[in-house]
Amino acid sequence: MDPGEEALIAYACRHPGAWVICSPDKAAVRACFILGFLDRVVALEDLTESSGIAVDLRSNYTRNWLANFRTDLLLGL
Amino acid sequence: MNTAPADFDAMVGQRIRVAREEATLTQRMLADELRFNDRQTLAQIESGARKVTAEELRALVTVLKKPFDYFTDPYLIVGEKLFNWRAANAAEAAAAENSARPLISCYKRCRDMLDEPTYPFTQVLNIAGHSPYTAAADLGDRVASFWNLGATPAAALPQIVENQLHVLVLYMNLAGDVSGGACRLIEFSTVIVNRGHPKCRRSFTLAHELFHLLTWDAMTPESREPSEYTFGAKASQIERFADNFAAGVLMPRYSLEPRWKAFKGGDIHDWLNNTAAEYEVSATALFWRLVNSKLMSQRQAEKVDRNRLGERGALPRDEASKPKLYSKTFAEKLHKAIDRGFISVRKAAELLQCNIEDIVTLFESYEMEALIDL
Repeated sequence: MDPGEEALIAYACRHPGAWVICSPDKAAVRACFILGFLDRVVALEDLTESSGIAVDLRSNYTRNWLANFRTDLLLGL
Repeated sequence: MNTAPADFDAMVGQRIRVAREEATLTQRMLADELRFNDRQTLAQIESGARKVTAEELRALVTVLKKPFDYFTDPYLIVGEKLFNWRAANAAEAAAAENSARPLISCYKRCRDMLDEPTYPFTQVLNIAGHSPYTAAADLGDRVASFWNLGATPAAALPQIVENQLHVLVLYMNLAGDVSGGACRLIEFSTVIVNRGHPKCRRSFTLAHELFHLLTWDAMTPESREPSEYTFGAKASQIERFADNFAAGVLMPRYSLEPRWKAFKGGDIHDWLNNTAAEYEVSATALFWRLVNSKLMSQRQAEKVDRNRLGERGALPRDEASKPKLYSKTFAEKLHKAIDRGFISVRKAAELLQCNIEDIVTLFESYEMEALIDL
């Protein structure tokens, strides 16, 4: 990952409170999987819908994209 | 191999050893500086058998005068005598190396992370340092014949080098008068070619650098050599071997002799220039190949006005007439690593010294899925 992504995940995994993380990048999602908090990764699409905001999102930000890659990770692909 | 802790410890240990040797310190000397009880502690760290602590790493940064990420960044390539460049001057060679290192380390890292089977052998050319230069040309001849490179080997050579020798061939945009270079790592080797140069220079650079890679241990090249060899000029023995080998590969006797014998008359300069273009070499290289292989007699050679020979060939007219950036092998590896989440797009862009849109353009040029929705 690039330094910004590393810093974000390093900060998040030490944060004491409840948090979720969004990323359109598979490397960041894989890092979260390796660190044991894949369940805290959410798609931006879910966040915007739950906030009542309608936004046209690129594919990497959708729940389908995240769900597919999450399945790959869990299957060890 | 991926990011298993044992691999990381081995990498850090290796970096410590390289930096220690660069500083001309023995293990005993460095162990004393670090206030270890004995030398064996350092030996275990360097072999990866023992993990280095954070405090020890801080001390190593100070003693060995290297930045922290020198020891920990898996995207760095460290070590001496890893590169050879065909460049007009040291500054241009250094600039080219600054561009090539992150590219090669990116490829290496992608390979490691994907953990796919890799070619475990290193190929070597059978030639002794005391051999005559004609032996190098004969070897080039035999290589062209063995690989069945055909009547004009330049076209087939890049793919054969990748497929048969598992050498990565990278076509890069290099500033200045840099023809290209070679990088020899333990894990794999790379030939770098300036995609902005004419075909004749690109082909010759590839064949020339290939010689260096295949003879690296026996005839280690200098880190920099002239950007092109002007035949007859003074050059080191190793460079003359490499040029003769390249001439043999690109203009093999089985192809050249019948063409030469078929030349019955007409302007020799036109014949040399046109035939050189077909071989994708310079007319001067073709001239010397004919002379050195004794196909052209001394008397015939004296009649050639070398000022009428096309030296450099035409520069590529536009982007479309250059070879694609990097190579399909490189693009495929990077594509797979991004798609499987082993490297982020931003990290790839950082290493390739480009922006994310350029990564998309790279993949599209090789007809691969963009992966990033811009």
